[in-house]
Amino acid sequence: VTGRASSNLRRMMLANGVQPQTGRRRSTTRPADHPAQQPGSVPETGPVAGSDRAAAARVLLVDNARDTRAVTAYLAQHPARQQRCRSGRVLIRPTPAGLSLDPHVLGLDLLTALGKNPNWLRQVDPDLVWQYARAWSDALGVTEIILDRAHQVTEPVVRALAELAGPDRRLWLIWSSDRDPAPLCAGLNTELVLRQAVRSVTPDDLTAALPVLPYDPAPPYQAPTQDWRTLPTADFTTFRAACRRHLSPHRFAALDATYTAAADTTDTWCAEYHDTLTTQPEQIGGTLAAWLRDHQIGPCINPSTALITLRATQAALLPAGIVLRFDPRALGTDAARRLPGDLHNPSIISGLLAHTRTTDTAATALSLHLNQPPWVFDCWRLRHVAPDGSHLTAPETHHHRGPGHAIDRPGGGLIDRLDHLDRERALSASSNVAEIACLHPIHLPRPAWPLLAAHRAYRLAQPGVTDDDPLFTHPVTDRTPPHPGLREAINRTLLRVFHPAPWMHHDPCRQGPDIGQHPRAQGWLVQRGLSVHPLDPTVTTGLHRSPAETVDW
Amino acid sequence: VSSEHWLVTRMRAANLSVWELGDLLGVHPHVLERSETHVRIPDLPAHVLVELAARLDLHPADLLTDFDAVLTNHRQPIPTETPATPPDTTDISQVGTSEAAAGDPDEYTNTDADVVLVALMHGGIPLSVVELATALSWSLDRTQAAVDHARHHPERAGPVVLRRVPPQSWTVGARLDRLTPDQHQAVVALEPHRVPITPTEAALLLAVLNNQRGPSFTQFRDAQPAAEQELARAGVLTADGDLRGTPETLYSLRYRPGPDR
Repeated sequence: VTGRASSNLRRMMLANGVQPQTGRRRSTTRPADHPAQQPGSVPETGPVAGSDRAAAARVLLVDNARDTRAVTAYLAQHPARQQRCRSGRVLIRPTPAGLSLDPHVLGLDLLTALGKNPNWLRQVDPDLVWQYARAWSDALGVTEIILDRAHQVTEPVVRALAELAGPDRRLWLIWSSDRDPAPLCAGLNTELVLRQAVRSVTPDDLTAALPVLPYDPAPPYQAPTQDWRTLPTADFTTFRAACRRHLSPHRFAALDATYTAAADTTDTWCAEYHDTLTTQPEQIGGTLAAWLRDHQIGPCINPSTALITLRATQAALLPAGIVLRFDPRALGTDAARRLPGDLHNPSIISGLLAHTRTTDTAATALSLHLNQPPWVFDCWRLRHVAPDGSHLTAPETHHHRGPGHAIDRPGGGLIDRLDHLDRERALSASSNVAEIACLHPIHLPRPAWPLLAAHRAYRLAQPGVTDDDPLFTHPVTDRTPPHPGLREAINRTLLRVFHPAPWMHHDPCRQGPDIGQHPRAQGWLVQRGLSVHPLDPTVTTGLHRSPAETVDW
Repeated sequence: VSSEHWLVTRMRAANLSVWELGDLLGVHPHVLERSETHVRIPDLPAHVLVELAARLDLHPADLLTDFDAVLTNHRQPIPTETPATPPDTTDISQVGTSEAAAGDPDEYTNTDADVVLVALMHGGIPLSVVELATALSWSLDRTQAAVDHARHHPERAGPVVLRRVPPQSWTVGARLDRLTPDQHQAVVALEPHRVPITPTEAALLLAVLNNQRGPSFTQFRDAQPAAEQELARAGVLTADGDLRGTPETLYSLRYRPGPDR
């Protein structure tokens, strides 16, 4: 930076305890772990190379006094919000027209920069804005915070941002004015939380430390492939043979590889739970449902792959004495499209990430993943959630009263009013397992990790909250149980992401795949037309063996 | 006819349930059951509009006219009042042949014949010419001319054919000359959709596959004759005397390598 304005800026910074920028080509470096500067101490003036200088400090003042076009272009090339979060960077554009003087408004700007829908931010409690901003910054892995037009915001505003950045993130202040930044920097230097003096760097230091990421636009919408429509509709007892008969050799080879791999995985699972399968087969349903949901069928994004995997799993479970029935008649014309997990839908994930209230997003994500209302959500404590939000462990003690679907509409007699198809379905599903999600570990899809991680960070940041406190509380009050408030919050959130959920209704719904089930069942299996039927041990005793060891037919 | 009736009719024709439609639109089916539907067509994503149009047998521009400007596959005009000159005033014997009539006479007779065929397909029961004329609000002459035209030009009906039901009713049926005798016999022999395997059938199948032949198995088998019949009908077990799994079942359940193709 040259010129009279820059000279004045450097002189004023020296006079106010701010280290000015030095020549970016100097070879002398300073240690990265230099001692923290004490408030009011004389700033260091030694020459420092750009990259090291940026690495050493946590708050960096980018001297852009001339408001160069290059800096504007650099910021304009900043990646879109989704990629921005993935790259650990967040660019804050302060709200103009004087509103940026308010820390609350800058908190909203930060949330907007984190990908939150600004139209929905007006419903956020003003007192909780910075708590949400910190929680989402932690969950999304933000390491670099860039504040554009920093000269237009006041010291309390920047101080709030610096406190949020803390020692784990770097804060870049784009100072695009001739105005003296020294008062701001002096105020920040007095903050013990910074542990580092505000350091002045050049725009080149910024671009060198944070190079522009290659343009990576969001992938265009791709409708789910329709190749599952050409798969045979045969039951699992003859599915593989029907594929071999009807498909081309090339396509069958690819299909059979998926089929065999899924069957082998099922064999491994059966071997792992061999004791339970042989001694207590009636208790395997919940474990099997969780495994199918989190590992076997749920993660299959392609409906065709999900259907092939399901058929192979059915075939491999039968020798173990487990009948996994798949009745697609209640699933509509696109039955296979309903097999993958709901949280694997990118539009749903992006919609949930645009919400701010962590309680709403985390509860909705769990409800979508489990296909259940929040009737067991008060069993989990904060210690049961992984810090990265990847999974929940099973609680030691439970607080839920009983399956929510056990309560039928007053008057009963539902099963008597069913037509033949529904009656058959109701009877066949009578031995279906009750999916009590909190009894087993839950593994969420990778895109949904920030949703739970943000809520965990938010809850732990609340005063007096420890690992032993409940994961969910009532969104408005602290009274327990939180079901009613969570149910309404989930319904509101689901409407915003255009994904209504039949299982979230107070009364038995006239629509949905659980029609005819008495009592109305809710869960991952039911939403996919699946039911688990352990065979009678008196019939299957002595029949458990590997298919490879069977007699030669 | 209200738009609600139009939607319900198209959904019924497309076998589209209210649940599926709500899932597609991003609203709960209860919203669709109420009269005050808050779904605004312009607010829907483009892929939802395209999918919805495909399900309801519509052009996307039928739902949102803005598509007319951006889609290369334009809508075809629907001839609601086809004949420029109503044939009611013409002599029946001259329909399709009179050069004096304004416009192309073949055009409106062809269109009338198509309408008659579609009406007969929707009707589901044999209809007389009078009943057709009443339902279509046509004159008897025009209806009779359309029926005659459809009868004299069977190629216009495509895979269906106009059939007379004695004494004077008409219906449509499938042509018999497009399938080989074997294909026809195989198609006729197909049975309706079978339910998935039941736990009882699965237990019997598992016992058979594991080569159980003891008295307990015999007792179990004798107690489940319906399950054995259903498995045999589904091609899972052989129907002859020796009960065993079919090659397709053994291969699908990985009990042995696959049968020859």
